[in-house]
Amino acid sequence: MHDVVIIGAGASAVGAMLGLVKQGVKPLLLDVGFAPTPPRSTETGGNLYRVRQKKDVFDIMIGEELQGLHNVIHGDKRPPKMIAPEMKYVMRDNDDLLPRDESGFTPFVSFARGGLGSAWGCGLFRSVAQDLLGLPITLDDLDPYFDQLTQKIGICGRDDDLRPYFGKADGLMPPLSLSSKGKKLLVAYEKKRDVMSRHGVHAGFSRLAVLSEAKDGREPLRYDNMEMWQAENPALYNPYYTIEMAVKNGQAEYQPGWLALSFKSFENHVEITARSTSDNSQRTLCAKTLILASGAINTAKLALNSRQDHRSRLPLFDNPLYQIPIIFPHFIGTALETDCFAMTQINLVFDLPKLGLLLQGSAIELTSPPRAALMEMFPLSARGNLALARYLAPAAMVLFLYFPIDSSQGGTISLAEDRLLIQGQPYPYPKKALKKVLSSLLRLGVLTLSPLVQKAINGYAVHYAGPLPMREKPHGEYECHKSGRLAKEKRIYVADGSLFSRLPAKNSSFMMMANAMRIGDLLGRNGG
Amino acid sequence: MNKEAQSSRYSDEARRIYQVLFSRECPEILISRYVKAVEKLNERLGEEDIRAHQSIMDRVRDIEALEMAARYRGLLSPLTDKFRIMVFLAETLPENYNNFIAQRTGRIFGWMVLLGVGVRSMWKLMKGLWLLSGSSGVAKNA
Repeated sequence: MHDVVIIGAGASAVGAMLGLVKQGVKPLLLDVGFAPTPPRSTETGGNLYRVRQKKDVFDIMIGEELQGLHNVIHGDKRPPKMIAPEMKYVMRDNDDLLPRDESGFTPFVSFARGGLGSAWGCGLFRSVAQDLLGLPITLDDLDPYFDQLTQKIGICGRDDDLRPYFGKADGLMPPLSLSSKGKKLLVAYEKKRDVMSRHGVHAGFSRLAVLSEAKDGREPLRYDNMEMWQAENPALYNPYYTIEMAVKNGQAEYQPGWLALSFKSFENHVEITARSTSDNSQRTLCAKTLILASGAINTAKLALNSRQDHRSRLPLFDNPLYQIPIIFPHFIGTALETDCFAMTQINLVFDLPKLGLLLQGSAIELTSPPRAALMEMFPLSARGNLALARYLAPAAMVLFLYFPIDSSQGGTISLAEDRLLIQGQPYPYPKKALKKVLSSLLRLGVLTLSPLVQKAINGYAVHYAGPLPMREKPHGEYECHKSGRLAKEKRIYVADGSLFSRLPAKNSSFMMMANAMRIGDLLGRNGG
Repeated sequence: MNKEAQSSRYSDEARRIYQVLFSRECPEILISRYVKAVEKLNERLGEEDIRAHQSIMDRVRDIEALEMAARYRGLLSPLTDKFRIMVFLAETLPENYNNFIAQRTGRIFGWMVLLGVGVRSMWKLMKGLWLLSGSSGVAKNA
């Protein structure tokens, strides 16, 4: 009999594990846990562009199984990082392991060790009080865990104008060096700070789980543009790193190769049925306590499947996301910057009280994705688009603009036979808000046009939430107590995005991790 | 069509698309990769789409104009997919590095090139729309 079994090995599972470990409880993490092939290497082969000048990079950018062409061949819209050949383990077998029908919502699910944290954008933002409105937890509940996780993970950033939105900056590593365009945008903001502030626009450094200094044997970022091409890049935090360390220190057990199918509660224990991913054999594990932390979609499936409930429709949503290309006229015709960090440079907050919205945007560099992927956004002839890739792309960034959402605006997840049914609903076009954002960007000296703004498909923001919400007084069997305990259950806890009935307009991974750590810690204090 | 004939057809297609994009001979390695990718793409396309597309490729010389017009019209085009495949594959070769990546700054030249390709694209679009209207009944398969 195990004291505590945690399902999953992504960001939330790691949070729960750390909370338990802190109290001296040694949990078992049960996970499918696909690993990268070839195994992780600290050698990147050097800067992507210098490599590209010298040799055929078909293996790095496309791969023998043509993964890099996945979106073209299958008519799909996976983010570029998820189709990089070395990243194929991140999405491996997810259709087989989680059979589902989707309409109006395309979820990205991973059975990799580290979960979706194996291919994330690394943004980790603390919550502030307003992010938690309507939830049964407060900032005081989460703050100590944000502090501990910041130390554990290694997060870079700076105390600046975004503090009211991203929380205190204690314990952060120095920020990464900005690209020339990132710098230009920040300087433009600083010069016009008063005007921008009057319009509710605030900008500053991002908070990223990327090392600007060496930590725990991991090398800092090399600025080699390999962020999206290299699996388990040591500079980019992957939740699996923390599991690996805990296992090495004898603080946790990790069993990959098992897909949890269902659980059954008894008076003094829980039985978990799992299937081997190598030979399909089944086994049953017993634990005093079970923590579901494999992400909102998997967790919802486990809860529904365990009850063989084909009737209930649970809420499911993620942040509505708009992609806004921005052009820096000064950089048109310049050489591509090949030595920079190819992900989020700076963040912008748009406080629009008249519309009742607080939006957040991540300004992302486009130096790492294939130029071919950018060309798909260009409107000219094929040859004209090739010229745009050469002369216009060095002047372009994209703003990922996140909107807040709650369960009333989201979709549903249910179980039909053995398949999940995931249904989304259209998000009303936020014309006024986008107009304000675009005019603020123009004030900062960058060009953009409303026809270029694209709504990402529902599910693209990847921070899924909603199915098993925390309530002060939970009703029904699919809600949870503040402690994470599933209503009407004594030994089943939930510790992932499922618990949140609303999401602020920001990457919520850190909020989910801190809350999972809180739940693990509370549980650990009671001996698991 | 047998596999060998199909493969030969796709090899010719690869040469044509590469020529449009880069105005030079397509390297052999790219041809074999292109053929493999198109065979996979065909698994998604229906037989009818494949046949109609092949017929258009045989009849139309300016495939760049046709592709742009089909894209402009919002048609889900196998031709667009094939151009995309070729661009992704071509980008992996060091000999094409300069076609994708600007290594030197030349702002005025850059603006002039953008102006030039803008005008050229307008011409290609008009031509492509004319080609589409002249190929009535097969437009959706362009």
